[in-house]
Amino acid sequence: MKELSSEYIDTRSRLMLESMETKVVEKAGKMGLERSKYPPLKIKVTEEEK
Amino acid sequence: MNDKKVILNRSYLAALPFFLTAVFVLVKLFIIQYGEGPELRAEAKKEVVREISIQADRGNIYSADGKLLATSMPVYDLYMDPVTVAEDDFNSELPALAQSLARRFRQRNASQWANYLRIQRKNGSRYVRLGEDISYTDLQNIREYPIFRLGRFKGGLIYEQQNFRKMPLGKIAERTIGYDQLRGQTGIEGAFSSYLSGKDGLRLKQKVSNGNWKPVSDNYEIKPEDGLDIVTTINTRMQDIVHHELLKALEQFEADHGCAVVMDVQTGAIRAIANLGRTSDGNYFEKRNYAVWESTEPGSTFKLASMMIALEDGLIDTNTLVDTENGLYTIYNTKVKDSNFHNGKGGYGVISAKRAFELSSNVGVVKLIYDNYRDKPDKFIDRLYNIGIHKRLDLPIRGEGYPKIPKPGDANWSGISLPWIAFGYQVSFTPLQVLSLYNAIANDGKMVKPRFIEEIRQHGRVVETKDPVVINPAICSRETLSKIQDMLKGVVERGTATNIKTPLVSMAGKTGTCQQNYWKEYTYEYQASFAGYFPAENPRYSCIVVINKPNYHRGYYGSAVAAPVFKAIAENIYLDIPRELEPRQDSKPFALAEAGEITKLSNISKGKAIPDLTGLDGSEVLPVLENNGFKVKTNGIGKVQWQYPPAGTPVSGSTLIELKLG
Repeated sequence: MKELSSEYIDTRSRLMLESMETKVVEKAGKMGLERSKYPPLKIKVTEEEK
Repeated sequence: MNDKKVILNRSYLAALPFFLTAVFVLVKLFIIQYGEGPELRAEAKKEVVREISIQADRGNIYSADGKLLATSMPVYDLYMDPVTVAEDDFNSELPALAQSLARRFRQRNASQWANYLRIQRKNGSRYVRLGEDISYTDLQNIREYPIFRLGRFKGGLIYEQQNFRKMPLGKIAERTIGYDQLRGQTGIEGAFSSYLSGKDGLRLKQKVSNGNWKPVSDNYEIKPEDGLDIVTTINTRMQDIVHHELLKALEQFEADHGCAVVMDVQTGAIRAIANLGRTSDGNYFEKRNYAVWESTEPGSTFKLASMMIALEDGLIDTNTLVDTENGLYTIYNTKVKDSNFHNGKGGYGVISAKRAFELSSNVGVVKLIYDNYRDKPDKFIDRLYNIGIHKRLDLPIRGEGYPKIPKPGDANWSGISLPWIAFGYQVSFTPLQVLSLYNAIANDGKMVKPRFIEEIRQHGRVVETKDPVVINPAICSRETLSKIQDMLKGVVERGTATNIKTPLVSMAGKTGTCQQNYWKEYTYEYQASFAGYFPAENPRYSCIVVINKPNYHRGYYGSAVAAPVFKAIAENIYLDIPRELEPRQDSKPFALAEAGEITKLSNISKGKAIPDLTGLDGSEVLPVLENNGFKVKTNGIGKVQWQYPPAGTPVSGSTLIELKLG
């Protein structure tokens, strides 16, 4: 039990670090990607138009 | 007869020692049995049965977005018993093991490790320290090293589990999360220790063999109660942004230390808090909680309070004119200078009160306050007290700095106190206290207490919610409020912070450049700050950036040092907030587009002349262009305002088409 939980926390901790925005931007930068200059848009469609 | 008597006497003599011994044994037996008995029996019981305290698990600390900020996890201390390893195994695999060890434990290189272990084996040492605080994952790797992989008895690896408080996100917000140890209680760990720690349990255990203990029964004598989990208000994405933007600026300006805090306008929830101090080797780490602890003269950011009070008392209006002269104003032989004052020249001439605030003219603001409150300074000071900024915020985190506002009659009150207070000197506040004031402006005058805790949980169930606390429901009238908001917007639009103006997100705030230790000659210690909120209309977040003692030669103005950090934080956070695109009444689905538009779109193809696209919806044009193999660069959202190449130009597949939408 103890070992499993510590393995879980350890793995989760590494995932959290890797998924931090600055890390992702850094890694994606190497692939030629950059941050969007605009916030994401939520498109709302009203029922009648469907 | 005589002989018989002699023999008898002799035998008595010989028997006497036996008899005495028997008596002694008997007496001792009684003493042990009844005299020392109870004590000895208890001790004997202790030798085989013991009450062992069972440590309760400490609660976890989570972020508002569900990430683990602090948790207790086992780490391992590693040792080796080189003696237990068989001679053949030891000799053949020692070099390989030494190489692996040298890679992981750098205190010795491969040959040093090999020699060291050989000597320890020869000396018969069965407990050779390898390393400590090893994570579980690392332990798994180390178990696969040569020799160790032979197993626990043949391999000789010994690991001992220790409990360790781990912050899975590393150094981020370290100081605010804090610690709870013998050396002190800091941050959230310290403040909420009573929730987190739980209660230790008790269990009876019996000695079996070789110093092993086994529980007497299946039940605890006292069951340990695990600590409660705490959900903080911290948002890890924002924290990440704030931490790295602050770090960048500190490095760029070689500053001594700094802090940046982002607060949710309506609830006072602290979404991000970064505190970084410089070490002797030029690196930065979370040294102290400057945002909570460090009370300093705020400088120009405090002009907000001055203007608010004068407006509220109706003594000035935004268009009241004030003569800033040449940027120098002398009161009782002390000089108030504008930042553009050099060699007798400077100032902004006659300007409005609003303009004086936007340009952060010290002379302008001092004159506006001094002229109006010279005869009644206590009225001005009373107003400051009424806002509620004279008291500490009463934060749960220990060590909050005390605000300081001198009042008439105090020993340190003098003729220049009022004018100097007007532009933020002689008073003292922590960054969080200043932020609370700016947040109140953003929050329609309602001053809320900064919050660090969202709720308390037990096994995932909410047991207690921490609600926002209102310090002052209205710090000023609505009328004054909208004037102040307008002025703060003006600072970015056309004042001291135009350098951070961006079309992406509107911001409102105030720069602050404050000279520290100015009474000492030839000191160039400054505090650069920027406090404000964004978006300027319907503010969602307030933010303060304070950077202390930047390298004077690299820059020290609030606008140059602190404001860009504010901008970067605002932009990055804004980019993470999804915007809702309302369906427009006039937009038609593609199939229903007017006939003319359809022909235009169907005319798009490689080698042909590009039609005039202006007026068409970007979202309709873009897929058609891209489906035809063009590369398209767009800017903005909405209809096509401008295109390149212009209409009628023949385009090949490799042409980059630029569209400006709006």
